[in-house]
Amino acid sequence: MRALLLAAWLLVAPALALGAHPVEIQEAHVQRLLLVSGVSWDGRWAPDFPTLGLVYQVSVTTTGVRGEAGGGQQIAAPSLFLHASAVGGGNLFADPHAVAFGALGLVSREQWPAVTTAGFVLVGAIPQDRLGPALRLELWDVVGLQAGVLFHAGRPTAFLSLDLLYGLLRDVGLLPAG
Amino acid sequence: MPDGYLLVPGTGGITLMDSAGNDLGYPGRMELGVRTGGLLAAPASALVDLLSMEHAPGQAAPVKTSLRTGVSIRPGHALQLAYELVPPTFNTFLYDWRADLLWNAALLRDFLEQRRPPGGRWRVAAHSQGALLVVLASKLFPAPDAFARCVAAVALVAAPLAGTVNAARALVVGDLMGPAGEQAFQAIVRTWPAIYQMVPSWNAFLPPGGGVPRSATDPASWAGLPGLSDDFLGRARAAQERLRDPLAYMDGDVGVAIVLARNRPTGANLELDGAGPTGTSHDFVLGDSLVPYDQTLDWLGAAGRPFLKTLTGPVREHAFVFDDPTVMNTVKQVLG
Repeated sequence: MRALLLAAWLLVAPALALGAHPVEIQEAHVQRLLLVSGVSWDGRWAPDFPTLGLVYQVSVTTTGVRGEAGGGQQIAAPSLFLHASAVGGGNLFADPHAVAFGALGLVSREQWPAVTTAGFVLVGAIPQDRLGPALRLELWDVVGLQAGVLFHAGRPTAFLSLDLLYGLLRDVGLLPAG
Repeated sequence: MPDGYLLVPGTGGITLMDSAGNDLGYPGRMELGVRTGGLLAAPASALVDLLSMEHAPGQAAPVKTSLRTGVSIRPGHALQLAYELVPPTFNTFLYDWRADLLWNAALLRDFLEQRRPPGGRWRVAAHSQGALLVVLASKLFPAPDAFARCVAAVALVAAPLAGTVNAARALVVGDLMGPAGEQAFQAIVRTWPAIYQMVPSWNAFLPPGGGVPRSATDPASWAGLPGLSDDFLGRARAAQERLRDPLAYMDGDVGVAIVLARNRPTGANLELDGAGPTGTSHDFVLGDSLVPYDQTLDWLGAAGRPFLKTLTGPVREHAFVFDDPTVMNTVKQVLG
């Protein structure tokens, strides 16, 4: 019995005797996945509303991790991200119909006032299978703005979209607090 | 039963609700009301009695959470705006971030003990004031290794362990929830002990024309400002004492990281004039816009350095640091 207790103590004692231990961070690609809701205009005054979709961003490079003198680690945040989004919804205001947009591009995380991300994306839209480039800006990481030109059979139409972090609707009281 | 994940948000990261269940909003929304003259939210003048608190000397718990007759205030929900990347599987410790840190730390200790996952422990991500609560809560356990029975891992993110000039500035100009110089908010903030308890621990008040910098917890440094509480400055000194050696009560197999950013200008001091401290910083150092890096590192000392994760590059500012993918990745690695 005494031997059993001694063995148990030897197993437990090291954990009790040690202080807190630092956790080593590994280099990694970092990512964001957000549920967004929004509105868009594609060549008409009547907006496509409401829309709901996903935004996914993953860093092109990994974080840069190195040890520091005296202990600890320094972690350099990557700035360039691959951006992908898919949004669907309806236009309820004129000639009601379903709409869908997808975007793929590169964005850079910035330290500018208000603007947290900026970059360029290629936007595809249905109906009419339109495609074209757009500038993407994100404000405070919760508001996404895209402005560009979509082409169909050589004809350009202006495109503007606004996507909001879905959870923001709860913060402003438009959704019940969970 | 697996371990549970817990978020302890920071100052202003939790909405406030009145006793009737009405959402009073959060600092950003309150500022909107002030800036629009009450058009989009309540004006400042309507908030003074509602948001001011009452405390009794020697008692950590507030006597009143609102000075409006028949109203009390409690925490609402954590803001998506500030914690959009935190997975929905996380539990959230909700607290009134205006109240005494030691009172909230006691509530957190009770939460960690009483709501511990059966057969598991907590893995805690704590932000700003929330990180201070975790440190203070660990020291309320009866022994240095008792915290480890409830907690397996801790990420202390953007913790103002040595204090912040921004807290002192909020007491001077009232800019925590409204525009600088708004007298209603100055009166409100000066009734909140938590803000006093986060003033700088270093001598951050610069006398006019040079001279020896003065302590932010010395009542004499605040002479000239109405409504400042000597009792709360005493609570600030007590809190700072307990925040020394912040990992002392995390013995045992607790994985710990102290995550600080060093990428944005951060106030290092406030200038004094004949009427007391001003809202103007004379010097700026690198930090996260609220937590100065070097001052916090000095506070941690050599024992704390192995736990330090220093973030550089385009990382978000203090209030929204949990919206940053690099920060959230670091937190997830720490918590496992």
